[in-house]
Amino acid sequence: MNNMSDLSTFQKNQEQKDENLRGTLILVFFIGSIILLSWIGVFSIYLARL
Amino acid sequence: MDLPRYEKIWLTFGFGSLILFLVILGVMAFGQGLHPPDSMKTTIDPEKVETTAPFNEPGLKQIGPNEYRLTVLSYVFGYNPGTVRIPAGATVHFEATTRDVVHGLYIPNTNINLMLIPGHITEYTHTFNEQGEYLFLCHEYCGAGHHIMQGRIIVE
Repeated sequence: MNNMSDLSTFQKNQEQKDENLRGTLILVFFIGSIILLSWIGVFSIYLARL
Repeated sequence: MDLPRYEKIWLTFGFGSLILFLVILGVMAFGQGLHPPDSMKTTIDPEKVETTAPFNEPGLKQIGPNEYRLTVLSYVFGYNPGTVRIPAGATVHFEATTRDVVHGLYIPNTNINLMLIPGHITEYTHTFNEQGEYLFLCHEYCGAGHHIMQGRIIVE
């Protein structure tokens, strides 16, 4: 019984950690998309001037 | 390894992008034989530029139907030739160098952005489809008259 409650506490903590990283994930992809879009922008200027 | 789920997601994207980049690079380099140009293949004795062909006769030469070779010699503070006239749609193969210090050859709003380094010949090909006057400038600071160093390509 004691073991079970330990396990559920562990799972709960794990879920909380995941929850806390959700904002980080969104920001990682947000910054990634800015980098990707600026790259595509510069490359399309290059192509337009060929 | 016990990683949070969200961390696994962005690590997968990060490593995935890296592997994709390396695969593309590998295919282009080994599969298609695309390599950076060998800069040591196009050298010139920097002290004998004006007596070495083709820079002993800088200027525009027609080499095909609406295709030209433009040999440009740069110096402090100008270009030889300073003005070039070509018909619209002309493909121009630039070959340029300097007889003194580092210069540049830059035409705004085009992809022509060359560095002219003593001892090296810089090559680039561009097709001028639109009529007009194209100003070319030195964009590497070369001395007191750097700001007046310019030339023109007139596309008629």
